[in-house]
Amino acid sequence: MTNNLIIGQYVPGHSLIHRLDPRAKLLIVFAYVLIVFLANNVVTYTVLSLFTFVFAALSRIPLSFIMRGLKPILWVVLFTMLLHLFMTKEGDVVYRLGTFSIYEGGIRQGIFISLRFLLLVLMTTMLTLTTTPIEVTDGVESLLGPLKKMRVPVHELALMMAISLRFIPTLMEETEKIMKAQAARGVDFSGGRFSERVKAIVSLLVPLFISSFKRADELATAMEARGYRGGEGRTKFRQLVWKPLDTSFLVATALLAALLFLLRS
Amino acid sequence: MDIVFEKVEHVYNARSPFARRALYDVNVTIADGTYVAIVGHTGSGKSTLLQHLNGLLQPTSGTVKIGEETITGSKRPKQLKPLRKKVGIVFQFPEHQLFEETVEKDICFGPLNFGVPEEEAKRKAKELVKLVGLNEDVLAKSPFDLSGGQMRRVAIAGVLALEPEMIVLDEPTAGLDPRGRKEIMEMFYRLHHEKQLTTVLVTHSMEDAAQYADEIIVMHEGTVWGQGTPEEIFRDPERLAAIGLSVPETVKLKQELERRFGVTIPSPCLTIEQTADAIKQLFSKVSVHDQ
Amino acid sequence: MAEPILSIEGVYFRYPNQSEYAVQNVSFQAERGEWLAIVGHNGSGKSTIARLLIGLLRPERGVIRLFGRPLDETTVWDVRRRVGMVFQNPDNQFVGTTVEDDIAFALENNGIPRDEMVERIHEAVRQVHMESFLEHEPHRLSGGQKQRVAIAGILALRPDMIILDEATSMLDPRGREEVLDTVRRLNRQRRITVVSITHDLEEAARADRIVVMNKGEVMAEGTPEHVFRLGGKLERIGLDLPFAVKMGSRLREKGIPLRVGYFTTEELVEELWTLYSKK
Repeated sequence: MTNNLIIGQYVPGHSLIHRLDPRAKLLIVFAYVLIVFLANNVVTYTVLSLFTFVFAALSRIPLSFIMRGLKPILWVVLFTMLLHLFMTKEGDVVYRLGTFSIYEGGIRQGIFISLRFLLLVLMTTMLTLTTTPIEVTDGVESLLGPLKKMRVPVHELALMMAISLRFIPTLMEETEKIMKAQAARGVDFSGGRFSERVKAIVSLLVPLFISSFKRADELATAMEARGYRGGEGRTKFRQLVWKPLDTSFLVATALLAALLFLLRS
Repeated sequence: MDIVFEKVEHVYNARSPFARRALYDVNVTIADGTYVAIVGHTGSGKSTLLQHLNGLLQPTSGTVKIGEETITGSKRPKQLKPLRKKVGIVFQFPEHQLFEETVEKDICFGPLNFGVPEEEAKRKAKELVKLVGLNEDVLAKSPFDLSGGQMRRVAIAGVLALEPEMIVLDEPTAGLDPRGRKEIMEMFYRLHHEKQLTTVLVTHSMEDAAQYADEIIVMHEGTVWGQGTPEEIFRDPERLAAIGLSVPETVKLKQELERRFGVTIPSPCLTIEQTADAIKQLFSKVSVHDQ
Repeated sequence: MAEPILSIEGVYFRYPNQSEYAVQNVSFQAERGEWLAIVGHNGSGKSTIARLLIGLLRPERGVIRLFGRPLDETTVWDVRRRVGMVFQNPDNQFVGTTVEDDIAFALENNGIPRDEMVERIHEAVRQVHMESFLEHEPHRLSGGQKQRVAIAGILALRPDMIILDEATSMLDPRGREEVLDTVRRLNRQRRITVVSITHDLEEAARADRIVVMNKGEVMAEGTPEHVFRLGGKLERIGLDLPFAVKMGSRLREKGIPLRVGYFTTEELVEELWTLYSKK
């Protein structure tokens, strides 16, 4: 069920991109999301694509794996392309069929917008493919650190995120177990009338909620027993180390922004 | 209704990089009306095997015959549902499957899924709470207001309510205290006798296997390591020890006595009673000899 | 006599909205380096005691003293640093995303500097034989391995006492042995006091002393030998005597004049041999 979806799936490795500080990767991706909108002509899109492909190549993740992950969004890209193809009425008419006309501007817009969308997804996927969820959490906690002064519970939020990540596999296992137990009592999870389907879902969700509450309660007790009393006075085992490599990647991203700004029309 | 496994193999996530072979070359027969124990370490393939007994899993190769029905890898899930009524499975910690507002509704849930009329299901629920050792007044209570042991009994009643021809128990006593354990095991043994219910018990307890089962299937690293009566299986403790399994305490005692006394004890010593008799006999022989 | 490391005196406790006491008038002590087992059936109040001992619950009446000081708000965090608890469900106490993160959790809570943390984590995993699992995620570990990680998490704090709250009841026989062997080694070699709460008398037979709980009260207390003499009384409160004890009493009923007071198969064999060779 989760096998086709690569968004959020980490691929272990030791490439340059894997070794980047998660804060650097978060900042780059965040900046990239804004930078993408600077591109508006053939030259700028070429530069942007080059940068993105080099970044992806550096991750050493097999192209086939990345492509497989992009497949599910291809129809969205195609739809965007068609939409622009038919709706944009700029430049010369290239093709006419009855009341439909395709303009040169439409083709250009269609290609640009779908390319932009693809590049965005590719870049954000790179973040999750090369960074473990817990590293992302550490990065977010560190970047949001200054907000602690404004009484934003950054530490608590990060801990919540980390614990959720820790329990995802446990809950998936639990879900499967409950589904099997209910299937043994004649529940059909694969079909049936609407009312039967509702009943099936209820027979799965109620036990799942109850056991999750119990887990949460026991976990809270265990955490208290292990001396947890909030973020105050706590040291951290997971440490992020900012390296020259991280700075150089940030600089490269800044250069990209500058270049696009100069070359855009 | 017999269940026959022929060359059964099961591979999880077949045709993917995460493929893992959990069962191979499994050939076993579970005869109608018997009490069979399946023993083996965690990861030996026991739980994969038991899910084939009612079509929750289908073999990736080989066949499983459940009565008249033959299951292969290509059977569609729809055709498997009737099997679930014939073979009831009590999973480990079955109380985790409870979800209805009342005990009565929860016990009726299974039968209603198979189209049993509501009145009849309710009548059965009333019978079953008593059978599993609970008071009739729990029927109206929420299952979540009961103690852990009581919840487990309700869940077991929910599986028995399907009136299966065979019941599969996956460590039904895990987490219970000694008294609860004994009561549940005795209850299933009684059911097996009184209703000729074919029973399959998956367990870590060699004592339970020795005491209750007619036959034991030993699983090891995904395949059947041995199958036979308790007497046959526990005859050779060293062989079992080699795959990290133990024998019942009584058999251990017998073995120690034989070694220390330099004698052979003919009794299989599967229960405390048998062992006590065997030792008694050993002592009386000595006295006879002395005279 | 040296001052006990743990003493509880006349403790009463009941859960909110309950009229009956879960624990009433309970008193016992534990010496440093001792292995004390608290046994009882489910619902006998034994797990409530575990929670009282590290201040997760507070007694309605009575005093709990640890390390010579009464347990209260001012001492509770110090107690939690020196007393580690292993809970029943291996999954619901594993906080970290990996083994090393989980062991680090209690160290982080106690503000241990990072360099020292790394050192302590390595020392702790070695003691539970989990060195090669440092970067493993919990769902790739067996139940017994998770419980050993929980023990490592306690060891990293260099504790004086470990409480096992039915820590082996959800494990398979192999996992149970792994955990008990680990704890026994720590008890012998490092003189860590162990309080094990269990309904398994076979496990309790390995303790130095046993406290038997029934209906929230202490029913008996003493060495295993002393306690197992209660025989049928223990079975009546839902416990199961160790095999050798049961076997022995069955043999006595059959007229074999066995002595009382052994609880391993080896000891029973010796006893039988002595009788046999006398004939």
